[in-house]
Amino acid sequence: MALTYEPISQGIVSSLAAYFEFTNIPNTYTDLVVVADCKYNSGGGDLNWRINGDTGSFYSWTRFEQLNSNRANTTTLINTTDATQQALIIGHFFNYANTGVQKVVLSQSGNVQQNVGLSVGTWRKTDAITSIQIYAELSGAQWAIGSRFSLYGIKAA
Amino acid sequence: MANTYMLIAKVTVTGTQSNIQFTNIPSTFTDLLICHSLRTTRAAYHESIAMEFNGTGSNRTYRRIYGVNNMNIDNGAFMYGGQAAGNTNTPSTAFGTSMVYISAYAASRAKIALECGGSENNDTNTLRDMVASIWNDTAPITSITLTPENGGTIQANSTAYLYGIKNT
Repeated sequence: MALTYEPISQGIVSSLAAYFEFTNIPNTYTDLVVVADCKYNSGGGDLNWRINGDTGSFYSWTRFEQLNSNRANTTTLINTTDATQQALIIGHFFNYANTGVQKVVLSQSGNVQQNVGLSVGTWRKTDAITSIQIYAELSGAQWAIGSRFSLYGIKAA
Repeated sequence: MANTYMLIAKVTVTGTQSNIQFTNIPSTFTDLLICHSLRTTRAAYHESIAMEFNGTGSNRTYRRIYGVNNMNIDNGAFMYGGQAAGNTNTPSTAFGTSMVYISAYAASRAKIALECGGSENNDTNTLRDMVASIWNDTAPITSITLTPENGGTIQANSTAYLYGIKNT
């Protein structure tokens, strides 16, 4: 029987870190899932996805959530929910290795502050995703020790 | 090779029962996922499912975005474990469907559960929700109880599956 859902990589923050990054993501899956079970050491704001280290203005996102109502932006990252307190964010990256399509991520999130939200983000490039960086909205914030990030690959066949 | 999703337990309701329980949950996974398809005896189009960990009804809170032909928000001292169809929902084979993701269930800190679910019946009276629930307790989760919020029973052919997820 085919294995359709496999762990690719995972990490637990052992010292304060400005970001966490999955690199060298293989192109052998159909979709990716990132589970971020994390919080900042202080401050930080929303959790952001950045793809392939791209800091250009090729991102846009829209979300609805309970605490901050609806937000949308065209920016240099893809925004999800606040991780100032312990948060759980599950991001689904679809068709991540298909070089014929722009990349979309759906993120479901919640935290102990508490908030609940759902965001959709687009990276308006067709490159295969080979790295995903996870970092804070506000500069100076760092991932707290014990924050855990897991990357899974999903095969459609 | 890793077997990421493993079925820990499944429940198929054959008569009616007041709740669904998963007990003796091993601590060997990273996260848990519950997938269920439920219908209750509540005389309504839909029914919310309350969730308890380790038989404890305290230290629970939630925030919810939900809609019944519109969009609303609320919060309170409760944990949502999904949505079920109520007995008014027709036909009788209409069931609600939900998924509940529970992270770090064996960790010694507060637990977060993300739920999304709904019931549907080609009408405007059914409910769809997305909820973040918190259990502010440091005990590892060893049991989960799902109970209709308004006191009805869970009907036959309802199913609930508990999966363990490993990230290595």
